[in-house]
Amino acid sequence: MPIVLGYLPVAVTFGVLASQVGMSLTELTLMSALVYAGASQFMGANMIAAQASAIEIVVATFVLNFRHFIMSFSFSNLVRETIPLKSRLLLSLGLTDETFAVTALKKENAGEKNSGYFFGTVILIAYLSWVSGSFIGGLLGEIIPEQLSQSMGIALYAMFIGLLVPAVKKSLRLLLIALVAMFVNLLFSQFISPGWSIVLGTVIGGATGIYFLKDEDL
Amino acid sequence: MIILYIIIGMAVVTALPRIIHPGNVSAGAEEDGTGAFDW
Repeated sequence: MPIVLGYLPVAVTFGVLASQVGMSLTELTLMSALVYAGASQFMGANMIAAQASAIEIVVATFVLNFRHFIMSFSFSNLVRETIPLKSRLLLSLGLTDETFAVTALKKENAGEKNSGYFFGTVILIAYLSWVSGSFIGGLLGEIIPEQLSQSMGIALYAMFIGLLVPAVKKSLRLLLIALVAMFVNLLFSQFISPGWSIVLGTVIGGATGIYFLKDEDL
Repeated sequence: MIILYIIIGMAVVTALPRIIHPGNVSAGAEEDGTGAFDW
């Protein structure tokens, strides 16, 4: 239930934003169903609006989703004994930051015989919330007046700030990394396309974390 | 049409890190990740 409550408003916002940047209801629902990665989809919609090329968007998505290697690796090892490989692969496809958090918190369930059904249900509910929320958002985006939907563009920045602030409150070093990424993006956007400058900002900003971050920040 | 290519491209690069990693191809991996690269 907390995942559904957390996902629905963000998914609806994505639907409205995506429809605002010119994506059709089918396209934005398909994106949620096939990609199923919130931050990447918001970034994708933003880059489509900025008229970035397809390759820039795909590379930026890949960089942003690098963390899935680690999350999926950790999850797979957690349930290695109880869930067969085929089901593990299917469940891995549905891993997100939130569902990963739930699986990590329910580590004690991982050893149980039916843990696959438990994790499968969590992941399926989250997935359906995300896809249906995007669809509703897409519908709303087509119905509500353009002025109102345009003002929702600010929601994108609000969402990213909302993700950043709690982390920064925990450690100011994370703010430094965000500022490095911001500065690199700003600097390179003067010379290269916005898409590639986002990619460079993400990679260089993330790389500085190797030096700045300590174990207690994570 | 281009948006469709973007969606498919994004879907592929999102799915790959989720399913391709040592945890799924190595039987020797421990929970802490040790032994994961034995293959």
